[in-house]
Amino acid sequence: MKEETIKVKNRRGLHARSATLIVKTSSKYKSKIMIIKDNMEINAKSIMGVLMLAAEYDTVLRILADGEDEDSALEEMVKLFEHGLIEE
Amino acid sequence: MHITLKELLEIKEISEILKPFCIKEPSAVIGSNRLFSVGLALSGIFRDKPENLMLFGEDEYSYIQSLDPENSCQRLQRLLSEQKCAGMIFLKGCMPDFLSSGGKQSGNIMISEQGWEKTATIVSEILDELLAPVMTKHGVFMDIYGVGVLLTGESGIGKSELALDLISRGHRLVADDVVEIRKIRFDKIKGQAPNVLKGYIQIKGLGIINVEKLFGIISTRSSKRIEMVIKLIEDDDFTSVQYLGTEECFTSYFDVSLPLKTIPVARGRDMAKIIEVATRDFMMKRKGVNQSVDFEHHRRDILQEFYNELKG
Repeated sequence: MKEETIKVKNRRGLHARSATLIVKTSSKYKSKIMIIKDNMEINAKSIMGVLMLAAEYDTVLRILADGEDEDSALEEMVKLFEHGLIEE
Repeated sequence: MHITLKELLEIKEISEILKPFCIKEPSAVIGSNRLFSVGLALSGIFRDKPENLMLFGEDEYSYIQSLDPENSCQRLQRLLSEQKCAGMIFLKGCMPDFLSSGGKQSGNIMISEQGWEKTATIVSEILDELLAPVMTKHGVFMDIYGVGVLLTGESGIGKSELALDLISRGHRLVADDVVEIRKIRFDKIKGQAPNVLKGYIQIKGLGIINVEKLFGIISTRSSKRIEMVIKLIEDDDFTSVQYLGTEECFTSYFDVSLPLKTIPVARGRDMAKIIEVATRDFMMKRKGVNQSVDFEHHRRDILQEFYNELKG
């Protein structure tokens, strides 16, 4: 299991479109990917969960990946947040 | 979990019965749901309960009145002043004169408009709810025949689709995707949806659906005790599947043990029907009837008869 701490750099926080992007990206991987905010732990592959996080600008989140492709999964997730959740 | 006295007093149900009389430390932390009677503490036998509220009622009042004024004042002041408790609730009409006349006041004092029983019950209940340990879990939570069934499994296995199927069969949705689990008693846990997601379900290809609007008021329910867990797994993973069902499996949340059924999902299997039957089976077991064990006895009896005939 791998873990990384990131900050939401998106000015508008996690809105509908960026939430969709998170789900799309994490669903590409086989690993279980979780996002943790305070005592909330949600599945990154579920849009309802990501929307519920209501993570605003500068919120600190922990991303957890567990599975065979955890390294590449975590790497891409972190990159996604660093680029402000914009589709390339 | 904890809450400050100020936050507690701002809650509507609390503000209806508790009136602040003298709050010296609004930031006092309440970390325990137990409400103590002041009782023996007045006689000097006392362990510090800095995170608890205390209740001062008729009995304490008559005891204090029986002491000489100076002594009684001292004893009560000691409890109030040295952060021995997070706050003290006096029942209306039971406040010793030296406090109510506005004499030396210290600590956190509230007055309850209600009697002992009502005050104790309401305050404890609200504290129970507020201080209950909480966690979120990925899954779908449904009320099936009145039994709280938590469905878990990997994303994409079809939990939400299954929930939709169960809803159209007349069962009730509590939470889709994100379930908040609270320990409400040492042996009980309760599940509900986070406020934002209440009554909604997400189906891939359709988007987010308002279940209550589409299926009516009885299709949802706001919270329910969790009684059974069903884990959905891929069809090719047979290691954890029960063939005879004679062994009982359990899982636990917050140290509360719950029966666990692991069910493989395959094309052509009517999952909703299987979940319904699993729930009926759970209800039978709760009544003390175990069908798998019954079958085992039945099989043994028949074999025994067969041997007897052979011998005879």
